[in-house]
Amino acid sequence: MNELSDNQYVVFEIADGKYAIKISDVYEIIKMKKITVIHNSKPFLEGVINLRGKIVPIVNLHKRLEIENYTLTKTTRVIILKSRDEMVGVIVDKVNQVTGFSDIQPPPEAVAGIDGNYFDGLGISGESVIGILKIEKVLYE
Amino acid sequence: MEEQLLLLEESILELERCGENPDIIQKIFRAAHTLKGSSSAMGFEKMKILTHEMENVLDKIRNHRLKATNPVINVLFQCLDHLRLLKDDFLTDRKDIRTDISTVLDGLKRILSEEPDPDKISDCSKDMAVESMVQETAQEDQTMNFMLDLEQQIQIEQAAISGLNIFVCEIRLAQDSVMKSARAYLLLNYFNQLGTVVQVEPNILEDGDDLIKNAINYLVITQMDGKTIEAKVINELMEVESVKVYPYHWNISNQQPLADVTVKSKDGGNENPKAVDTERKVNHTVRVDVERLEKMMDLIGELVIERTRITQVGNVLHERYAADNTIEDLIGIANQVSRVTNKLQEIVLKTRMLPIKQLFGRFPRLVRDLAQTLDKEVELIVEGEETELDKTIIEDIADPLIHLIRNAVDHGIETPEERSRLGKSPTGTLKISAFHQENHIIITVQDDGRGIDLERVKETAVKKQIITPQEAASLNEHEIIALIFRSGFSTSIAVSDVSGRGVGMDVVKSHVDKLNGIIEVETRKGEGTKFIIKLPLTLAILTGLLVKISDETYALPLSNVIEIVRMPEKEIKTVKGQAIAVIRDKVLPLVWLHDHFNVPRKENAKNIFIVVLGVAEKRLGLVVDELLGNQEIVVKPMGSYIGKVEIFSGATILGDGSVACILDVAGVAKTVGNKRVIGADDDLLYQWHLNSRE
Repeated sequence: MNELSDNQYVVFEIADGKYAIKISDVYEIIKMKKITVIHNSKPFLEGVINLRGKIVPIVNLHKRLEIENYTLTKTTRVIILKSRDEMVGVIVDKVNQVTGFSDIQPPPEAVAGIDGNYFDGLGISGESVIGILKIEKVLYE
Repeated sequence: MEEQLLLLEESILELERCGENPDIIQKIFRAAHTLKGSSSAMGFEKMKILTHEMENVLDKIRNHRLKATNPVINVLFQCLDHLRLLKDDFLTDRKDIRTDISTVLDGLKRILSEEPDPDKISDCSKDMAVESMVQETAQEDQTMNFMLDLEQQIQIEQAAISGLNIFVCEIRLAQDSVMKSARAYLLLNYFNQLGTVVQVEPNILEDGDDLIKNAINYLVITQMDGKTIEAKVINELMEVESVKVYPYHWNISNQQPLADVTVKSKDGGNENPKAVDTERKVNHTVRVDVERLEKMMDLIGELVIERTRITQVGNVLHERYAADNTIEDLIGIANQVSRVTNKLQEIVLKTRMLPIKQLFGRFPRLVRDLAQTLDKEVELIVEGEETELDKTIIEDIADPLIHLIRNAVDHGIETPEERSRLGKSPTGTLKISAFHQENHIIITVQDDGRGIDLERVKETAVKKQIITPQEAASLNEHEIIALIFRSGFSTSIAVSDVSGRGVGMDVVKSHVDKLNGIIEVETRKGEGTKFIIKLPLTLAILTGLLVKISDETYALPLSNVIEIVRMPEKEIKTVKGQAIAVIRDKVLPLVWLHDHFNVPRKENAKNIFIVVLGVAEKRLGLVVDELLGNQEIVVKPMGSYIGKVEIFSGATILGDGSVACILDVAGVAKTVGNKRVIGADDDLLYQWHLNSRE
């Protein structure tokens, strides 16, 4: 069971690029909600939402990875991650699927123009190669 | 255990104040004994030894062979401190108890040996007993010491006078005996047939099997002699390993007139029902993990939010389908849910409330020690101990209060000589009181000492470069007093042990600010000082004023809102680049949070809304675009991911499910203060006062 979920990834899109997050890091995926802006806080923090009575911070992944900002569409989703005993949401343009990788390669210096340090590796499944985000790095450093 | 320690402390203080009242000594004795009992039950040897020695000393006081003089009481206090240390040690690591009790033990022994002792033998054996306990051998005391209340003592006295034998029957049960307590109980019945059992040690009726490790001692009044009893027990009872019967030496001095004793017995009789009462009360309470209470509070918070939403949705539906009866029902249900939720919220809030006695109980000792170190005479009056307050607030207000008390005793109250010279009573009075006022609790600390010397405050402030001499000249009384809350201010010339390390009133104030409280000072030279702290009853739920800044909703704690003013925009003036408004002859700096948030200010408005906010002495006007009204809001932390944002104290969830930030007024004042245009070190408000007078 554990092995299975260890090798399962949620694949999503931001700015037309495909990326993946380990499924064990994902708490849930929700539709976009009303975000309350927290001024004078971290620059890439989009704000907070009310997730069933809990205040959950939402990170703008586009800003964080220094790519073009998102536009709200029908497919925009918030992936709620569970990290360091806290819930943090990230905004993505589309959630595609849950998949496993046949092979994972160490990350190169840059993935599609994004600093390679943000990645755990490159997941290879059939023809496609998808960057696996390093949550710890993306959220905290 | 903490309760016993507190009780012990209270009683020793009482002993010091009222002298050797037998009731008090009995109370101390009981507390010490309970401690001894529980420590030996936990296998906590050091504490057992210490309490045992304390008992010996108390026993002497009780029998009038030792006067409860100051040194004796000091040693008792030392014992108490060590007991606390031992307890802490025990809690952190029961295998590593570092507190050294030998000095206190020496102190106790010195007291014991000071008086010529007519009962040397029994005392010697006690000492031996202590030593043997130190070696942690299982050997029991040769002469068993029973804890007797006065009635039992009289019972024994009278038995002795009527020529009956009083024996200690020491029974050792067979090691493999099962149900030892039942066996012990049978023995009790058996001895009751032979005579009267006055007491059993350990208490087999209350304690479980595990306590009966060693011997059980029965104190028996009987006509028979010791040898007969020994023989009878061995022959007639099963599972008894050994029996030892020896006469009991009790410690009541025989010279004491019996009449005196009878009077005391009445006192004792009065006391007993009370003791029973408190026991009964204890049985009705349940200890609950604080975390569970917090969780409950969280859930109730969510319920409160959902309740508001149900009502809102109900109203919308009602408007849309006015003819539908089901909607009427829904609104009825929503109202009922709302009522129940309110009740529930009230009750849960109450469960978090504790009487402030928890905190005030520590003060008598503190004041006593302080007064002694400083050679001052202080009478402490504590009022309103039963006032209830949120647990977290009690914890957070402890340090500031202790600081105020230290200040009052150290700086406020004069020495007895000085007081006499001034025509005051040599004993100073320190009054600490707590009471409820609307949704707040007011705590005051008042002394009748020398008061705050305003001139000296000014001088010090100038000397420490908190203000310039020019500024000092134009300050009014109120503003001078406010200076003592500035950081780096301490008027005490000599830095003493007790107070005056430069960290002082500013820390007190920041603590109070953090609790959304307000601190005020009233002082009169030569007559004393009074500190008034006003705190909210709870931190978890507060009444907030909802306002809009641009199109964002924010909540302001209503306790910080002084008034709301609507003012034509053209009345706003600008002095040296800072916008100000004159409200009731007072000059207020105005703040547009729009600028800090990078959102546009509202344009072309005829009137602007100004919410006048106050934190302690500071006042400022916050310009808002819209007022939404008052609402009970549940304070939620923003979480560690966001961390501390200075101008927000948390967030709350509104009726429509969206999140609104709660503005921290102290933080707002500070943020704005940092960005002010003029004055390097001065408080913004203060600056504007000056400007307005120019």
